Amino acid sequence: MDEKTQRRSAAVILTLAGGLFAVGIAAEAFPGTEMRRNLYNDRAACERDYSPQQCQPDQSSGGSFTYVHYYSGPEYTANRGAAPSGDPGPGRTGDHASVASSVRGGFGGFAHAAHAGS
Amino acid sequence: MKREAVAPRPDWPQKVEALGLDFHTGADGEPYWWEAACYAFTADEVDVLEKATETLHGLCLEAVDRLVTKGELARLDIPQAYWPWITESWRRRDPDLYGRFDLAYDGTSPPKMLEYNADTPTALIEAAVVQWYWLEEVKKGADQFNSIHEKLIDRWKALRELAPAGSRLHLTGYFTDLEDRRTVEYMQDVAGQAGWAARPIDIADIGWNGDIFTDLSEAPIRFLFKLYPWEWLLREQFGPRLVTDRIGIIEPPWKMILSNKAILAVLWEMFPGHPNLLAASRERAAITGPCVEKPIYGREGKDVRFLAAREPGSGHRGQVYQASAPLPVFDGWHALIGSWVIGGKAGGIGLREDRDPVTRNTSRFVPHYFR
Repeated sequence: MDEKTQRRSAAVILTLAGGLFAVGIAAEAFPGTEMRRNLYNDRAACERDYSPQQCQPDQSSGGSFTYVHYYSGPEYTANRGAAPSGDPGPGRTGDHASVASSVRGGFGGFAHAAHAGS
Repeated sequence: MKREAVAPRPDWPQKVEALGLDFHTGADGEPYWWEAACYAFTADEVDVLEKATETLHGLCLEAVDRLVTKGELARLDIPQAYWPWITESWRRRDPDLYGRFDLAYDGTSPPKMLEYNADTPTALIEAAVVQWYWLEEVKKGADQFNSIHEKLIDRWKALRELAPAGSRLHLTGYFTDLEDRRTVEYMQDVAGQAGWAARPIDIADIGWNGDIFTDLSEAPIRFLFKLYPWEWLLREQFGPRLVTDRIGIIEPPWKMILSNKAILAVLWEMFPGHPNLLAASRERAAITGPCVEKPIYGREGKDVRFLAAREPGSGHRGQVYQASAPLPVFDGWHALIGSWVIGGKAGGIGLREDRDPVTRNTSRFVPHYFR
């Protein structure tokens, strides 16, 4: 059959098969080191704690996709005693709008109930 | 369209497991992946399925536009607090990824839409990957209506171009469920091949830091693929946060309009007599003859009831009634076609079969080919 008229994928390659599939996702998905990141309302506040290169605006390039607006500093190790050299640290000014520290478990309840009942 | 007996590969369990289908056999020992049979189509039949799929997707988009434009989301029992957010999602035309129509088709009559799994379609790995490898080995030289894998990668590339350079993608689902977990892993694979830096996170591990959603490293979640129903997300603790956080979610909020089976009644109202649609209504009395009663938020055949002519419906709120279109039966198996839509284009099909007229999550997946 002519390759051009075929209706099937020319190739189906799985880059994760034998790796991710074999060992499960936990190790890659859930790193054991708890990280933190400071969030700032504006760039100037962020740059008082970090270099300009470390302060990232979180915004889209427009178009139809949704976007968020704030500046985030670099990720740093929450446990300062375990921080590797080069870790950017939590900043000095305390000028950030918030330290990213999250509440979890707010999603998944329906699935848990459905799974428990099946 | 016909069903053929075929010799299964002696080592098929190992082969499909290597592709991520380690849920090929149910907990009850019944096979889910079944390659002792296959379905054979003609090229003309594939053309019919492709055309019907893209036609139906187009009709569905028209229905979304009407419901949003006319402010009729109340017809879908979606909480009112979310209407402006859903409406805005449609007005922006937030990009979508995929969906799967369930079609009744016997190779002769026009395919009939039973429903549109537009939000969290599954049976993906088996359709996109496993049956493709089966074809390569068992039906070499034949073709298959299945470019799902390629189209997913292409679509993820297109989505990536809409996002800022360097954006990370999180993928979530309920990982206790093996099929959901494997499906998310597969989606991570194709998104990665499209250039996304992608990381999975269990739905229960998604965090809220007061401003934004975060992963376990406290990194912001800006773009999220979710294999988790919208109707559940909205009703859970973090649901209201979705409106305040401007996160890009695949499938986008407007897609919940289409995954709601009440859309069947809207479609029939807008396009009565369309050859790919079945009469449908929220009122049993509006459907003449035998019909099927379905919960508008039902999944995987749960609580689907066949009603004989003149048999009344349950009268429960949250139901839709659809004229009966029995699935074709081959060797005693009722066959259902799942037809994939990726980026608005028909991407291929997967077949499920069951002794029962209702297809459920335990119904066998059977590969196909055409010449």
